[in-house]
Amino acid sequence: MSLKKWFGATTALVLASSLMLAGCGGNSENGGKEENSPSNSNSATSAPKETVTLKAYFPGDKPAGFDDVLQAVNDKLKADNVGAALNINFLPWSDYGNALSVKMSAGEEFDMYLDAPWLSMNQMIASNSLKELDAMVAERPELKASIPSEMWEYNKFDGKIMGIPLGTTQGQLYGMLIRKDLREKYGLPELKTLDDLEKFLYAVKENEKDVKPFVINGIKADKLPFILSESANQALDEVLEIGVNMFAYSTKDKKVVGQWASPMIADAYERVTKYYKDGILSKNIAQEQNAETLFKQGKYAATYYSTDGVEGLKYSEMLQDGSDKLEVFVPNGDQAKPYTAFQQWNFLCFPTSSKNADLAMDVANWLSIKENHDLMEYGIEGKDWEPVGESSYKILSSYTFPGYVLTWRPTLTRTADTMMADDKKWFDFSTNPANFTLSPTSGFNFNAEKVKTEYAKITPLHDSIFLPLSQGVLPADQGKMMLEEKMASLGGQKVIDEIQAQIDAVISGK
Amino acid sequence: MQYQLNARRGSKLKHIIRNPFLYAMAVPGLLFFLVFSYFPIYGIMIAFKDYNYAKGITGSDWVGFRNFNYFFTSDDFWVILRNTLTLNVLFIVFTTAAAVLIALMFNEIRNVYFKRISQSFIFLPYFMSWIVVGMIVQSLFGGEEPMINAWLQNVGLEPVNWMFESKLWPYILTVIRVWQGAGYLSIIFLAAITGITEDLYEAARIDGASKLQIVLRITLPLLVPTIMIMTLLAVGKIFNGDFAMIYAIIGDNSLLYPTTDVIDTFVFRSMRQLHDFGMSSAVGLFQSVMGLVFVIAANWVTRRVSKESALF
Repeated sequence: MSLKKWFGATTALVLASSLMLAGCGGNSENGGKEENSPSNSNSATSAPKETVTLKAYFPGDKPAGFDDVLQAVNDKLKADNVGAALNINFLPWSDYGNALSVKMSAGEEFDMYLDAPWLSMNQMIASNSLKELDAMVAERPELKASIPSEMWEYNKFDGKIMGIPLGTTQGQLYGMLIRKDLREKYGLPELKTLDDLEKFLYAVKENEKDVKPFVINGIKADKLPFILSESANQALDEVLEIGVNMFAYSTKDKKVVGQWASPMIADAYERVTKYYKDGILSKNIAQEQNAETLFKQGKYAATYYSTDGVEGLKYSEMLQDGSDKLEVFVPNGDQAKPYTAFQQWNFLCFPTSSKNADLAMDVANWLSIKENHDLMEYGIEGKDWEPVGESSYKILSSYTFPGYVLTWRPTLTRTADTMMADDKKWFDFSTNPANFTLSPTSGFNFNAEKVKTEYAKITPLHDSIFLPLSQGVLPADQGKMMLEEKMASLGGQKVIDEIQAQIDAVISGK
Repeated sequence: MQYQLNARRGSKLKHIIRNPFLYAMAVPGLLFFLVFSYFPIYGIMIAFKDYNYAKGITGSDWVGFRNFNYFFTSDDFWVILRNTLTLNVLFIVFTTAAAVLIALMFNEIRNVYFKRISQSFIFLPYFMSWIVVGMIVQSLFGGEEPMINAWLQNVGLEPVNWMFESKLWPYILTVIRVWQGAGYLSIIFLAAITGITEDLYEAARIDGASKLQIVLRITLPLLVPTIMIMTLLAVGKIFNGDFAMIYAIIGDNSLLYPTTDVIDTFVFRSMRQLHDFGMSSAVGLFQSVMGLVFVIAANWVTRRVSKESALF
């Protein structure tokens, strides 16, 4: 084919396609409207309500035995005359964010889904894709009561509730999970300070042939400096976690600073550098992805721990042999009162395109009643679980519902009876708002819209320099210098200024 | 030849009427490209818009070339561009060379069963998910005691700190790529070789040509058009880093970024927090346009050298 003909054919194809496309667009709009009108008239009718099926999207794999539980949930919804049934779809984590964005922009109708500031929530709010929930929450007492007032208050976006905050703990303490048997083997007392920890890690390094000191997944290592600092878990000069990677807020001079430049955890970066050099941190840390498995296999003496109610549970199977070989070390544990923004990381959101928002909120309210909550989150009583007291339960089947997508309510949470005592202690500690200090930046959620070019440019620095610095792979002085230079050359200051401006606005608005 | 004569003699319509089945066979392929390649073209405008889910594609505001800013002014722009091109050139050259060699060798195998079995085996890696390949690579080169190092030490060589040596990775990736892709390409070449008329070989044998001479003087020259077409198609994607491959193998290991970070992985990391359709579309458009430029240029060069081998 000659070039001319080739172009001719291409043009013809493009023309034809654009014509057909125009046709498609028109059709789908009409189709959408027709579909919705019946459901509107349905919801107006009174008891016994007709059932409207609500479509939900959540990330992850469908839990084993989910169909049976969902059937039971829908039966109970019907029996309680809520007027709704749930159609829950799980999308693989790997493309959940993208799939949701595409569904939203394609105008697909669904009634609830999981979103978060670390997914696409800020963009969705900016584009008016999410329903405001303030009025609807106020009308639903069970839902309102099941979540502490701090959680409602400090998880607003521009002063409005844009999603139901899902969480159990009110803030996080960081620490390490330690092999108690090894500590006792070397006659060391219970770990209280970072020096105690250091002694333990070096003792393992010097004496054990098959057990190495410490393992953490490479990508998690940005939390290491929070653990290995004398200031750990306290509310001192800096708020380290403000919801924007790599940055912190200094309460002393009211300035946004880089975490790497923070004087408060400078000691931690020195420690990390030293530990990496001395082989306390594995040479493999930059690409480590199997920390959990390796620790379970007994190849390491310590691993990362945080009080989120998930981290500790991962290892409860290690105690199935009846031993108590694990313990939790939380630096400054006895005086811990860390900053928290009472911020949650997951939100149940309701798209504006849904015609059934009120009904979907009714379901959320219904799920805030203990027996309904338990049915969805733990499964069918007697078959999947049985209660152990008020706040614990025994697992009978392999049903594990990801509560963080729908059902997590701090006041209703039960912990598995397999949870190790130390873990339960710290988990219970963290569910109580009174154990935390309100962060001065609470209520701040970064909206990068104004500086998105610069933000996109500095985001890769997290993986390429900030992580290696936190892993000890880049020595502290060198890593900090590189970050300063790169931040300066990529317009990081503009991002910092924007964060500063938004935090100032939040603080002055209080 | 027949086609050209027909085309010159009568109208296109006549040609279609005369060969209805030939054209009918092309319909599924045309439909595929129409639906998956030509329809979505209108989405290009996202690259020039401040794309907003609620306003939709046509309703979003135009922002000119603002979406292109971030990528072109990124610090690592040249490094990433260089990596993308270097890796792809390495991939194209070595995969093609290996595939031609494999195809020529297959062509010499006379035992049908051995030929079929070995074809299947060499084709197999093509169907392997990059995630699986990534895990294999991880166990060979990763961990505290990489398997490769154990082998090296067994034969008395010094162990290598693979995950720290970014210089080695373009070569490692090339080897993996050849292992994965050469088999597939060789089957295409083998099909082309099979299409070469037997008369030529017979004539050569009568004239007393050796096996090597036959390969060099007949098989290889007649294979060149196919090689050129496959290469031109690959050149069209020269600005597209193979995200699935690179990300599955390199992952988040920042120590290897200096030589393995390609446009696609870089954009992925930049957009992890932002999820900005406009900026990612801008980069995609840049890759496509550069790919088009390269294809036209490569085709122009090909035409100069040998007219029959060119795509258009």
